[in-house]
Amino acid sequence: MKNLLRQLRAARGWSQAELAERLNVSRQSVNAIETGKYDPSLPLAFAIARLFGQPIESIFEDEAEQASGAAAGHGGEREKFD
Amino acid sequence: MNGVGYKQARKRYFRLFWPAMAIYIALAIGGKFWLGQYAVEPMWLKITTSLAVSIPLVAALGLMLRYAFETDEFQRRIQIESMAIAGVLTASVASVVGFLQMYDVLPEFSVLWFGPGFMMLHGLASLFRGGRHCL
Repeated sequence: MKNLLRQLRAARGWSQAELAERLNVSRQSVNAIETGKYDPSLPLAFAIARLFGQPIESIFEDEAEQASGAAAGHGGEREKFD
Repeated sequence: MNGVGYKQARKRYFRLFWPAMAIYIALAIGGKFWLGQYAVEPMWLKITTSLAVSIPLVAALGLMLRYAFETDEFQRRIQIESMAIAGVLTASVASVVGFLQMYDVLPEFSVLWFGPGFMMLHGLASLFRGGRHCL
């Protein structure tokens, strides 16, 4: 899952350690989420969304949905040509 | 997000883990010395000393498990995966060694080393599973 955590954190001038402190998780957890190596649980995703004052879907992007959306869009284009 | 959170879990873990290890080392050395005072050690003393030495080690293993349950979800995953890897490796080594001993390939030796072996493997597995996120 892609996310905008790094950008949101940088916009506030927080380090990974500061963000980890605010979320009561380890710095390694923040790093793993930012790099897309770990997808947070719903409670943690909600905590992140609350902290940045944004809805979850504006922070986390479902890559599978994006890919299928793109494929559908592409297919749609193809249909026009057919 | 079950548990008490990363910081508190870590604090609770280290607050008890190092004293448990210190007591374990003190009792392991002291017990050997204490039993050495007797020409023939009484059975009750041997049992008491053995149990006293084991308790801090068992407590340390319990603390590792408590830390895994109490810490944040990512750390929990690393800890539980590491324990699973260490458990499987320890059980595998114990089985292989057990059969080698059964067929007289290896001499009999103390199974005591499987406990510290598990702890060491758990530490290595934690580093391997979690280390790449430390940067």
